Amino acid sequence: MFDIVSYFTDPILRAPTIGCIAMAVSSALVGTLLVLQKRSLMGEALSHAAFPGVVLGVSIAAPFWPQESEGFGAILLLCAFLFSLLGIKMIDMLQKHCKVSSDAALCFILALFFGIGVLIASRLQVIQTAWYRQALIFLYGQAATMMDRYLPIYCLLTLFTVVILTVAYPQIQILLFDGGFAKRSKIKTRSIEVLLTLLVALAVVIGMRSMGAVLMAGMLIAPAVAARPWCSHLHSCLWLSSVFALISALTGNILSVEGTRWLLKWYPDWVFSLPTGPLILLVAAGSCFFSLLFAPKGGVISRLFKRFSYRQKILTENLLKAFWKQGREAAIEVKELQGMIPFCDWLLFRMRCLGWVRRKTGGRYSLSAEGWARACRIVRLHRLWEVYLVEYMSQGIDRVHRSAEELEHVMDEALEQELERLLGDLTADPHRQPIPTRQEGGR
Amino acid sequence: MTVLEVKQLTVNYEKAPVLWDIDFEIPLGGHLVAIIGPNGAGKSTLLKALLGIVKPASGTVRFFGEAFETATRKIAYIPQRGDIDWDFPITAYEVVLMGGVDRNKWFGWPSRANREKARCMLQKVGMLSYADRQIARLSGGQQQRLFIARALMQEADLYLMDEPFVGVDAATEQDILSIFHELVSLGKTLIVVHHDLVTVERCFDWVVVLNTCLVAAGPVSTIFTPETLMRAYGRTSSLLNEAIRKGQQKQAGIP
Repeated sequence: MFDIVSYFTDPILRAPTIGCIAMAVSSALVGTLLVLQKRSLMGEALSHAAFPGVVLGVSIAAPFWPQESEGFGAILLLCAFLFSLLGIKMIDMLQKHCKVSSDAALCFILALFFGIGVLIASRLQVIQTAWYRQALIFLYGQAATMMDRYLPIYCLLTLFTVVILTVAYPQIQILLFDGGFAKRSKIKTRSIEVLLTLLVALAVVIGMRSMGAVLMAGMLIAPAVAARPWCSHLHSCLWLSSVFALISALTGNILSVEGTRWLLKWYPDWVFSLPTGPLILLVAAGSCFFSLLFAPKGGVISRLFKRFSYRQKILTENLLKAFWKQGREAAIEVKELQGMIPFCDWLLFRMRCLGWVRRKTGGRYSLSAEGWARACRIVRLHRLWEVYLVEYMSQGIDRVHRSAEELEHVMDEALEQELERLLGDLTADPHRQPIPTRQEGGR
Repeated sequence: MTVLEVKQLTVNYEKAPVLWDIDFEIPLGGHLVAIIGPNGAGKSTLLKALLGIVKPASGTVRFFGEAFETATRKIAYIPQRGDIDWDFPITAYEVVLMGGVDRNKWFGWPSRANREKARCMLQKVGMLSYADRQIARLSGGQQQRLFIARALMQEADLYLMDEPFVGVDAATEQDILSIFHELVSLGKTLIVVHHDLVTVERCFDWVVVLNTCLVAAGPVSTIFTPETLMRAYGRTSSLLNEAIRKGQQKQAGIP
């Protein structure tokens, strides 16, 4: 078994673990804002736009500083940062002055910058192989070789992001939700926008070291998408996406180390170590999947469940009506019902558990007081709808039964009251059938 | 001084219906103003041009004798339902709280006074019990009342609204109207883009009739006549629209 604490204390393991967590949390925070602003592609464009900056940074810094020194790293990050800002500026200009749509502008800049980066890199490969390798780290990411001295900058960045988001939270919320309102209210939208863009660019540039230019965009988007369906507040979105990011980063690191050990043990002749970045992203993507399946609103499972229970409600209510037609005290044989309504046995069992029907001798069933009240209510709603459709919507009497058959099941209390208010106290429907009273419906 | 003074306003923004040479003013003293006109007459465009969302080609707009930029504090706008992202993770209370944001700062949390006021405004529109609902889970009428509460929070003197009665049931319409009348009795002015001619006489006291050009503007009692309506709704303005667009394309160099 592995020891989680060692991932935070072991001199080799702690830098990648803590670094990845900081990177993941800061990118999850700014990523949430991007996703809510419907600018998810922005991260993708920025990380690719930063790549030529990395390559140029290597070429500028390598002659003067030893590789993996602070100066070298700083120059590299600075160049990457400047290029991603240049990318944003060009995207803005394309949209504003050339009337290019935003997705087209993003893709164009992404391809242009990345192409230039690859072009310069392939030249480097021939003349300076060592420099080329340095550049490749930022293309594919390499978390495992991170060292303690990188940690302060990662943690500072995350802290900076958290502080900015906390301090300017109400304004950011307004800007994201209703940009037009923010502008008309004359809050300082421009400065917040610039600040947010800087935060995104920073998160991308810092994250490239561990995730790589290609995968970085995923870390911006995945935790946000995973958190989105669970939240109804902006702050809970931010919290939850950071938690998802934290779990992904930690799990990714553990999987990479333990998985590599396991592979070494069982397949010693495979020379293969599991890379950290892709594993982190896979875990994050897994959490997205989890959310899409299990989220309480809009999740696949919950929607299936809601559809199932609505269907069950319709069948139950139809069954109640079938009982109602036979009269208050009548006992009905299961066989009679089975032909009319599917899943009859299950529905009867459920209604017995709820106390709506009682079992009589010889496989016969009759309604309890509660069941009778519910049946009356359904019939009442059905007939009220018929009245409404005939009198208010001028539908033909012969056509309204089918519509009412559907509408009677969707009623909630508010709709029911509105309908009763409109129609007043009625005693008969358009087919001259009596309408059960509200008291009979148990209200 | 007037609440609103529009002089020779022309808008031929590419995506919106055209407005041509509009002149009208709305005096002080609390009016409930309807902007009416047939589909494509430029009702929403007029509202957007007033707010500077759409740039006018020529003409001036003055609010309380000032330009929009300096008068923003006195103006609240209630957007059309379709312009809002209803899935955004935000609650009713937070939306109303927005109306009290401090304009001079780019950071800082709302004060206690503002938080209490936001609850008051929710109470006023009868939505206090829905304060912590995510906005997509409100009914159409509640959503409309929510944005009215946000506008009330802004404590403006002029309220601009785009079709506030669309998708709203009769009871809510009554509630909204009584809030409007209360505002008017406090001397505030409301300008509402409206499409239902039947309710104009009952609900409004001032009317602006548009059909690309201004057909008429003034008190409902003198302006809202069958003749005016015939002039606005009886004839189509498509010929003029077509000509204006052609001229615009020629000027921009599009063949």
